[in-house]
Amino acid sequence: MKPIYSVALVVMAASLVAHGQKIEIPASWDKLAAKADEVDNVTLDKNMLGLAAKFIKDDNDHDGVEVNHLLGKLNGIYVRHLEFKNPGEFTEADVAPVRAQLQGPEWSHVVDVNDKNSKEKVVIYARTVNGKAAGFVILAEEPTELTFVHLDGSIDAQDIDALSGNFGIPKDIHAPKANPEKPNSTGVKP
Amino acid sequence: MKGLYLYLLLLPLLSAAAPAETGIKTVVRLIETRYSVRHQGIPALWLAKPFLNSSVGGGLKIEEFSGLRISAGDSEWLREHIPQALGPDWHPFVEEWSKSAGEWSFIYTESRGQHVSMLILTSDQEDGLTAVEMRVSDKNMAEWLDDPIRNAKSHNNSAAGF
Repeated sequence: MKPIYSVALVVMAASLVAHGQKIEIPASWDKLAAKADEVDNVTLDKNMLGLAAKFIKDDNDHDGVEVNHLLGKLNGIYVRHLEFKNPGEFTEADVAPVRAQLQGPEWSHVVDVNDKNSKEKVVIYARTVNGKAAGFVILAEEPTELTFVHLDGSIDAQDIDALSGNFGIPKDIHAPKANPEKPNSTGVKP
Repeated sequence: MKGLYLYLLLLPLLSAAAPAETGIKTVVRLIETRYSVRHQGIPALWLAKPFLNSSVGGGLKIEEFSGLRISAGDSEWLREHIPQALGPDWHPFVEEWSKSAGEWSFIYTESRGQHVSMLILTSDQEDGLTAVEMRVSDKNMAEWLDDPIRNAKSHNNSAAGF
């Protein structure tokens, strides 16, 4: 192939990649969303995170500096929130396909909390690629709400605390405490 | 064949050299083509600009399709095609649907130099489809990033948000 043709193909491929942004949400999420009464999607890709960092930097407070540092490590923040009219409109069987897509050698449970009083369930999955942290998924269930958060990037579990409550990420999602002898826990308040 | 390859090679450069079309014009054109409708501008919008709140950093453009009702379910086509039409400079930020209220909105942002622009496409049963493009003030953008979902909902609930 002549060099000029190769360049043309590379330019075309790069253009296609730029247009086809991959959003890392399980494909089965759309089926769940079809059942919901309210659907909210927040997407902060790398470019938007850069923008967010600028505004948070301008805030110049301590928390802002920490969040700004974390944004630099992330490739994207994807929040998907569903609200249903009545309890029971989605079942564990509906959520199972989403969980199934978070299985495999790259994924591990770091937090699994099931509060039977409030009927809240929070699971945090960690993604590791070649031994390096590559992100977290938070799946929070309430009787009429379901929230999926993908923090795509090389952050630590403790960093989730700083991001919680910003960018559409639910408040009060707590990172597991660093304690190698005891399983970690978390909690979510409405 | 050689001419085709040359065209493909130059295509990105030709696109870059073409006159820049604002996001709202692109979206309005897409909607007009898809639904065979015509938009309505807001007469004498400039008269209202001095009274707009601080959330608008300038460059306000509003186009309405007051007779056009696109249900939350039917919005999927637009959700798929708007980002393609806008191109890579615009980034999907917030999407929201409410089936019971028959409302939905898509919000995109573009960062150019010091300015951030926001393109908001909102549809409800009462007012039809409205497209708004504006530059966003730094303060307001920080608020949007702080809680995008709440801000999107409050924008939907109050057309006077600007």
